[in-house]
Amino acid sequence: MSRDSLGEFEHMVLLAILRQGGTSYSVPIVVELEGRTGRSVAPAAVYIALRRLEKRGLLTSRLEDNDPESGRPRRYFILQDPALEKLREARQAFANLWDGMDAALEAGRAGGRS
Amino acid sequence: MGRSSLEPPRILRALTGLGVPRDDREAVLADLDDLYRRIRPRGRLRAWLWYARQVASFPLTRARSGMSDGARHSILRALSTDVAQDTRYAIRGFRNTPGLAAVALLTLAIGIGATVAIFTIVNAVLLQPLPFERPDRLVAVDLLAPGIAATSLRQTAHTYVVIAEAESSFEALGAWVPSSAAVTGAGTPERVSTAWLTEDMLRAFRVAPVLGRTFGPGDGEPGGPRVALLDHGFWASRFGSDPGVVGRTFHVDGETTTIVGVLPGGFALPGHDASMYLPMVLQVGPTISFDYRAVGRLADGATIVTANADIDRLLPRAADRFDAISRDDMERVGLRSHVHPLRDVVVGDSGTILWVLLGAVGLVLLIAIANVANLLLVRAEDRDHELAVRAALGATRLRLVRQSILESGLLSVLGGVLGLALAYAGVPLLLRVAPDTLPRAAEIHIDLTVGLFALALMMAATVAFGLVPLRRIGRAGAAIASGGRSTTPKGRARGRNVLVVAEVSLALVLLIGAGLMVRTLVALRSVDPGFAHPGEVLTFRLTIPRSATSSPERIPDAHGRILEALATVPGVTAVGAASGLPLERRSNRNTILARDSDEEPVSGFYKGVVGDYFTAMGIPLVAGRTLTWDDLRERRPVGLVSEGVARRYWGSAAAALGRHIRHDSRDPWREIVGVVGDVHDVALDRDEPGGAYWPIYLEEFVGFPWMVRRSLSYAVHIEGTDPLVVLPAIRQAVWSVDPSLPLADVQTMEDRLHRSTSRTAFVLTLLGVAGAIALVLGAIGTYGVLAHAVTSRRREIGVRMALGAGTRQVRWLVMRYAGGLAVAGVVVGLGAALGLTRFLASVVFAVRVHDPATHATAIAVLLGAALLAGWLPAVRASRVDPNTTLRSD
Repeated sequence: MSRDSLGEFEHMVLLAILRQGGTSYSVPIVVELEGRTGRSVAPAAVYIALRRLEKRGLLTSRLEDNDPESGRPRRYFILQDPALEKLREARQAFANLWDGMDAALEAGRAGGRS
Repeated sequence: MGRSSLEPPRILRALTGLGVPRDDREAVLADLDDLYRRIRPRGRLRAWLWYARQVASFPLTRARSGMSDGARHSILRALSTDVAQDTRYAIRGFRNTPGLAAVALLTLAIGIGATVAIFTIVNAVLLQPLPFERPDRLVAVDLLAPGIAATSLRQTAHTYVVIAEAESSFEALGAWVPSSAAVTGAGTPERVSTAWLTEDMLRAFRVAPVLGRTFGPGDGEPGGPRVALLDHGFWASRFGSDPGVVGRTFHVDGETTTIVGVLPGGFALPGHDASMYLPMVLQVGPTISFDYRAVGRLADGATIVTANADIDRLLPRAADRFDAISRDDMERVGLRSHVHPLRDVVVGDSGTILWVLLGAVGLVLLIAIANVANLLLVRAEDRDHELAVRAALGATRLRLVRQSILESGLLSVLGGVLGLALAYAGVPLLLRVAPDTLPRAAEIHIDLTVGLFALALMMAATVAFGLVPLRRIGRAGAAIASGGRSTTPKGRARGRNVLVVAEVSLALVLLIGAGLMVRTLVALRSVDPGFAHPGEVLTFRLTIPRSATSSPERIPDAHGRILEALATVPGVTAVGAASGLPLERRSNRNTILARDSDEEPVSGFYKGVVGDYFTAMGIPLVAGRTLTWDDLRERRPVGLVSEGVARRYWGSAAAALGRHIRHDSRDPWREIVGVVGDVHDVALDRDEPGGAYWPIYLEEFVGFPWMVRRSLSYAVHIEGTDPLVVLPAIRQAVWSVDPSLPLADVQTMEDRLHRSTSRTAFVLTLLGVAGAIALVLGAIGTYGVLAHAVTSRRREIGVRMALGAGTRQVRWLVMRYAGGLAVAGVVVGLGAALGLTRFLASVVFAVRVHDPATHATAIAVLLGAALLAGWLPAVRASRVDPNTTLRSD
């Protein structure tokens, strides 16, 4: 994979935003990731990943000084076209790699340790 | 304005903020608050721990994401080898001596916790700037009148007007007067505190309303529409933060009032939490009354000195313009300007007390550190051999030093975190015992400054402990040379002795302080307040609103009807009312002029009284009679004086009857028809000259054509039951006369007595706790040193016993050691107490700070504790079996 491919966590964060309609902020992303992966997710990791993805042009953000919902400052992140492109690429790459591997995976389980 | 428990602890929030770039800080913290609220229902501890993790999480994640993989790996590898190993080693070390580790941690936590808790209060009250823009430019503009011994007087309308018109030194100058009002027409009737503000007052504070407008020209003019600004909290509690509140009307003291604006949250006048602000236009009348609290914002280039000089130049103009003031009067009393920082007015005399208390807990912290250092010293000695072995196996000196710092750091950080938790839990408890007069109490919380203070304490403790064993590391090599046995017992024993002597001396200072406060409280509680059965007297404040009667002549009857209704309540034996109760700090004061006495005029209180006030309060009638309804109705020129005034002018109570007094040269002379017992009107710890009592309606009084009391403090004597049980019936009785009258400030006289001693009780509680902790820590320290001395001198003791020393001699040997340490501590402590207790001079009463009895008691307690601490080791020493000890060598 190329140097600027998505890391696993970045991949997960982008998917979480996509699930929420392409625009979201850190709280629902943390909740989504925790709910779907069953692992605890550090808000700091999410926030820093978001800012990094923004720097790479995959997201843009806007700061609401006085969010109408909470009345407090909140930073929203918006998925950009290059991000969708990256996600598509990644899915394709994984699909290629997985192709025809189902049987091997099953066998591995049945065969135990080698 | 309590914080809901759904908010994360402020300290953690502040610390987390430090790890986030400034641009993102607010948004990130708001997001974390949201997440915290989701976790909070699963338990407070869990939520706290989660939030505590976030503190480290942001800087660590940022650092990790900015590093190359190679750098990350090498750092991780380094951490996983040396430091991690040392940390594991340190933890294992503490695990092997769990008792010592627990005692050290607890000692440190108590020391740091107590210091941080008091510092939290000091920080909010004394260190944080006042919550206004450029608070250093805000000044109180008062007056001094040394001729009548007035340390600080407020402005009269006359002086204020001439200063305000010139306004040379001030960018803005305003005045305010505290008051209270009955609010009706928006929910239940309620009495709330209010403040009258001149138009420019908010401009001087640089406060703008969050809703609506501020006061402008025309507001507050007599006959004009009545308007009010709401306090932010009152807007929330009474109007549910309704954004459409501007323009709504309600009734203030029965008058229709329009809300024109809402002030921002956090705004409060210095020392007065008002629910509502009303516009005030100064009325320059024929009389002088120093009621206006003037606050100015100094103009650019102006200073307190130039402002004072300006005002001193302006003051004579007030005499030229107004008849009420004459230049002669001004010169006689020495009237001059007293511009001083607003902060001084807000903080008042709490500063001294708070610094004293911070000093006291600081001493506890020193004792705690000395104690822990002592424990570590003992431990370090036991580990001489271990250090020597590690050195021999190739551990560098640096490594050993790092190990030592790491251990003490670990101890300090754990102790500090525990201490911070103790402080977090302790501050609300402290505020519960704190006196009502503590300023800025609403602003007290653990903030970043407090967090940094705690951090500094932890670092200081780390250095203090780290240094102790360090000295031993240098000797590690020497120990090897001597075959691994410990050396030079003398030097190290001296170090421990010094620590114990220091502990004992600090403990003595605290015990003496606590002793002085006990004496003060006992003295205050035994002062005769001048009124009897305080537990049986229920008091409250009632105001006859203008809507009930606008005619002043009818006000006494309105009070009369309420008094009659109250008298019918079962259990009530006497009811009366006065314009101010003893210890209520509501009385007016003025000079009392006597017609036929050569004595210098005294300045005393004057009160309007009605009904059976003196019977209800249990104030004895010493001579003559009390005031009657006929005196009131027929406007008779009569009054009462207290015994002190009578004695001062005429030698005895009886001699005062038939004499005449007045307050002002324009008033008629009024005849004294009775003399009543003296009361403590202002405070229990003050000698007070007494005062005069008048009917509640008077003609020609202190320059006014008439004087009537709309607001009175009622005193109801109730026999046979708890006054608070009767309270509902009392309320019903008042409401049977007028259902819109709210009862304000309901409390028994007993409550007022307690409140008047609450400051002493607060200082006593804290010094008592500090003294007790110091005593226990000092005893533990003494015990530790003696126990260790007995262990390390077993051989010597064994030899002595083999040579014929008996149980008694051996015990005496140890007890002499204990006694020596204690006596040395007492000597040093007495010296320290001599210098330090003078800071208590402003809070003690009826006892001198160098009171010998208190000192003797404290010394006895301390020596007793030290000997008790020595006894166990002494007994152990006497059980040394010489055969075993000598054979083992």
